[in-house]
Amino acid sequence: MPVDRRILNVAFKRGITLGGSLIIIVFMTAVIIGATGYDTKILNALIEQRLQALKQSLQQREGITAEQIQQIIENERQRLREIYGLDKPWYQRLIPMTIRTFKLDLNVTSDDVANVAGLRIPVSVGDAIRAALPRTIIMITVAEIIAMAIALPLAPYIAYKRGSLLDKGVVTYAAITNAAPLWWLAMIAIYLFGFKAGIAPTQYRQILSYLKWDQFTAAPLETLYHVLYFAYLPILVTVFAFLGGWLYSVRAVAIRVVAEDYVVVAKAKGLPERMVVRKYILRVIAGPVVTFIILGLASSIQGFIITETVFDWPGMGSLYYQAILSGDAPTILGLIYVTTLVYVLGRYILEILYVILDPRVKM
Amino acid sequence: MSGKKQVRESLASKIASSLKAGVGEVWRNNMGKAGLIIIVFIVIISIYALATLPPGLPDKWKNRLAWSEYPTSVPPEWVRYFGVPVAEHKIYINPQTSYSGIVTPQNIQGALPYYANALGLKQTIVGYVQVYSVEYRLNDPAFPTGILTLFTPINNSVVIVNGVERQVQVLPILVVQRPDGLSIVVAQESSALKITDLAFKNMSVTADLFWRQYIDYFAQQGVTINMTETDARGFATQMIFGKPLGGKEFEPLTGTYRLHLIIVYAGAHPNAIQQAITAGQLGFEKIKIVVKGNAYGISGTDNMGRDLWLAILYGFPVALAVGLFAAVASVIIGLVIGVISGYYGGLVDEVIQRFIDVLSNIPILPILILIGVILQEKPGVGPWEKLFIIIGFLVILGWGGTAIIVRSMTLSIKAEPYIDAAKAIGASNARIIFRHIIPQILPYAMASLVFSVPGAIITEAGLSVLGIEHGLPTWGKILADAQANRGIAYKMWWWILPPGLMLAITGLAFVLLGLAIETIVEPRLRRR
Amino acid sequence: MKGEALIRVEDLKVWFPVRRSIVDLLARRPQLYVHAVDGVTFEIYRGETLCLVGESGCGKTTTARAIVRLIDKENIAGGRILLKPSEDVLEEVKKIQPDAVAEEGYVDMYKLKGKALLGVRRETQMIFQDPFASLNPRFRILDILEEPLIVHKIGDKEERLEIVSKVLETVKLTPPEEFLPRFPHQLSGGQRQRVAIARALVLNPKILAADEPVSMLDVSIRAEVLEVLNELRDKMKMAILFITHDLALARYVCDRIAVMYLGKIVELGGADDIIQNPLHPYTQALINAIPEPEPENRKKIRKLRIKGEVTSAVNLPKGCRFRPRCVAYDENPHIQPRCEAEEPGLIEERPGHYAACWLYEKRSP
Repeated sequence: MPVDRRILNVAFKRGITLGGSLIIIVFMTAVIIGATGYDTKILNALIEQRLQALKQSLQQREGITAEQIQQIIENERQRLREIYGLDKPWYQRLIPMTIRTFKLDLNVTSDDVANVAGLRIPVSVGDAIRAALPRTIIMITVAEIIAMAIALPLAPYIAYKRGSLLDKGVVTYAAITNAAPLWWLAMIAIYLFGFKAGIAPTQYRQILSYLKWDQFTAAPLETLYHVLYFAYLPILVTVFAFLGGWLYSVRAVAIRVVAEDYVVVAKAKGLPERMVVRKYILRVIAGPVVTFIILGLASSIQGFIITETVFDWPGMGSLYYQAILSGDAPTILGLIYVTTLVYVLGRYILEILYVILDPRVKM
Repeated sequence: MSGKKQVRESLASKIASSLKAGVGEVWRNNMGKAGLIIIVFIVIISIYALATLPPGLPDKWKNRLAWSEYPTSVPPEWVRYFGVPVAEHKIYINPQTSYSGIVTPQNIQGALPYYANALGLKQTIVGYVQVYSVEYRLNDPAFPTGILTLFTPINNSVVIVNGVERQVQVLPILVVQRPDGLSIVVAQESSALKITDLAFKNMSVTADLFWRQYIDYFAQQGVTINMTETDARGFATQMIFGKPLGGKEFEPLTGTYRLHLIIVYAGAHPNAIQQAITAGQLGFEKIKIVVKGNAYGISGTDNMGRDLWLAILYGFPVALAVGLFAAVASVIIGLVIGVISGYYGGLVDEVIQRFIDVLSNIPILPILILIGVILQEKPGVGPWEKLFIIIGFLVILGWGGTAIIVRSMTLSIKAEPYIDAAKAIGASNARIIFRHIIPQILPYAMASLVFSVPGAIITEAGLSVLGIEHGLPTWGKILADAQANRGIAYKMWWWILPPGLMLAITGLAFVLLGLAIETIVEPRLRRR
Repeated sequence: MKGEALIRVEDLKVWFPVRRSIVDLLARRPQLYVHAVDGVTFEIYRGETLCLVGESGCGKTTTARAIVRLIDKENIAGGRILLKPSEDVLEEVKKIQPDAVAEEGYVDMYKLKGKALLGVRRETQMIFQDPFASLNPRFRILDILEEPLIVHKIGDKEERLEIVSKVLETVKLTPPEEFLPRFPHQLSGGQRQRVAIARALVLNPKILAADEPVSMLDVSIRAEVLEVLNELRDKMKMAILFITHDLALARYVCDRIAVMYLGKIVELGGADDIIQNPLHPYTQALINAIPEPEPENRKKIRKLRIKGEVTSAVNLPKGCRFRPRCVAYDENPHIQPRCEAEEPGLIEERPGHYAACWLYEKRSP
């Protein structure tokens, strides 16, 4: 089969499965939320709360009878129920809800969720995600990139020196960071650097007031300083936790290559180590490593719910968590949609890259 | 013929011998050895925990009142070996009676000298009195964090005098006799009460009883204490166990303290009371005086006074159960589905592969949190049930990876001529799968099983930290409480460090074991 | 040596579908097939060894696998394989599945299913090329040899051990008790192949398909394995289908030889007959390629009587499938139209010696 037709074939087939996955995942989440009556309960409570406030303000007004108040309240209840779609059973809300999720045409329903985004109700789910995303990128995506940047040049050397003290040290380090939860390391870091040594902030929510584009354009250096002040500890902790995994997995890929005959021959020929690593190892491991990179970056944008919560870092993870706690179905669905979309796109690009880069891949 | 008989092995001995060989191989690997040793330890501790912990611990953990005898927010006792002064936590059960008899204004000086000397004593005791006395040695310059007295009275508050029933009332008074000779009343019921009502009273110290006199006493010695009554309430234990330095400063006063619990009986003639007490019809089954230390046990306590060691212990079997259940279940599902997908191929394979495609794109943690929160709202679901529903979902969402790898291994094994040979013999699909394919995949499945243990444990603990509770005292739950009650801000390292370390060590043990199995299995896999 | 044919392959066709992509499906391109076996007919008699010879990819292994029914039913595109089982097995098939019984005491291999198929499987066994891969590395020799007996529920533990030991003696692995507890990796290549033969013999089959059984063995130990096979044929009166790419070996082992090219038999005849007087241009080319043992003869420069590469089994040429490579086609212009128009069938040029080539078409029909 010619390469271009094969690319077309892969693009088509994987497009269908991955797109299908996306639709199924969002739809099933909507089913979980709807079928358990989870959002209905919370939305009803929310409506009652608002009606209570309305009633109080009406009672303070003069020249209005109790009956009129009752009437206004009833009308308002009806209106709110329609807004939140509570006038219909959950399964009738399902399909419109899913479709609106794909259009990102939904509004945040909970004040707490809007707060995490640094915004106020009314705000659309899209805007809330747009607000939270840069903060997750600043912390987790940046950390991921730093860890990669350290691991990629280092790991092949470690693989080349398999069994050395350095190699054993790296494996142990990777094993430890794999076993210790990142969010616990975050707690320890806040304790040590924030409270004990006093060289890092203890409140991270304040990054909200610094990470703003207009502020950056007005006073770039000062803003950068503030952002760095808040971000450095979360980034350091995350890099510390990620680096082990990166080193280990790139090393594992490289070790297979090191054992290949042509590398052994290159070594036997007496080629300098640097050259063997660059010419014979780095090039060959590029494929799997690109996979790691794309999937790592694609999944980094969903944030780390627990770690962000520990830092009280107002990113995607905190948004997720607050949305789930507040029963904010539109935000939950919007987040599931956006994060899954990015991940699925990452995989899609990879599958096509495989075919373009490696004509031997059979489809 | 006997030679031939030895050839045959039973299935059990086959499994046992291959297991023995496997463990032996792991043992020869340094990482494997370390992992195995730690896991054996964890298993032993788990068994110990299950055998010794009280069965009602999960309920007790949630009950704030159950922990009143414990000091709150104190570090473990072993901090003393790092130079931290420690006031010992001491529990006195049924202390010695140092005096019992009838006290009158005339004999009080002789009978209860410390009481008579207690500063500013305005009331005089008359009646039948019992005194329980204990000694508390304060060796390090540190303040204990409180004194608590608990009573278990005999269930009778009546004596019969001349055929008439009389309600007996008691007044408990706690006096501290300090090493510097000063005696103060630190605790006292505001009025006499029915003896059986004491069962519901935990008597704790209050500065209200002695602050005025205390300030006056030290004023005479030239130390000015700058305190109002309200101020003093917050300094009760510092005043009792300390030497004032002026202002609101105190330093611990080391030495031997004598605590006297004076029980004054009233409501009937003292002789009648004495008779009833001697006959064992009146009095106490149990009296407990607790001097709360500034350190406690192996792991310290949290802000509710809960002994963290108990939850650390409890965490071991729970973590093992969570990790092993999740790992075993997801690997078995992945193994079975992967083998089916690879062996039968065709439409079955296609459907399974597409299903895994969807599964592998699901953002697992958000969905788990969503399910956890929904579960939280459901009444009538027990703690273990909740725990296993959450783990169940973890398994359902998590078997895809194993299935993909098992499928590709099955495909390559299926192409082996010995599978053709088995087919030519007429072996059934089931026989080929169970006798020829699965045994080949099993070592890999073991590695993948061991590797997925830490992930499951950490995920479960992480969910607890987010407040998704099943109600069991686990490592995750301790961290969740620390997080919710700002344990980090209060620098309570003993609240945060040990549970996380346990998580990390348990995880590390399985990671090391997995790495060892992988290095053993990997070359075999490649040879294929 | 005509006798009773134990197996009759009639116009067997095995086609494997080429996997189509979504794009192909949408464009409605027709389904393509690899014509691995494309109309093969032969029979093997009791006590006879028939060799299937050809280069790799010619369909000889597929034919062998088809005989022991290792090919899926849906890939059998035509023809049938008839087998003469022993009386009791035939009776059983008649009882369970009468529709699988063909004429004259034969059963149709690809109509059988379930228990009837299991019964017939006892009569057909196969030996595989690679003795390192055809034995499960996790099984002891006893487990390997006992498995067929367990599957067919033969004997109890003691009896099975007895049968297995006897078979090991047959393949000259003695004393049996020394070999039974061993794992395959503890044996040499020749010993392993004899274990593989023993596994095939445990069920006492009447038909044996041996797929290049000695090609992976050192030359020094080939003879002992071939000796075992020859003995089996003579003593047990089996019908053996012997697959090889080596004509010299075929002459040593076989009674008759069938030469295959691209899924078809192009020449069939007695072993000596074919080696000495090859008819088909392809066979001639193959024999030409056999190294000359006589140093004196090597001095002659031999011309390679073949050209080009093997044609794809997916897009077969019209007419004779050997035509693109045939030297005789170039040399005989008079038959060229025939070669281009039609596929030749087997023509009996000499008694019992057939060739599928228009060169031998009878001039006066």
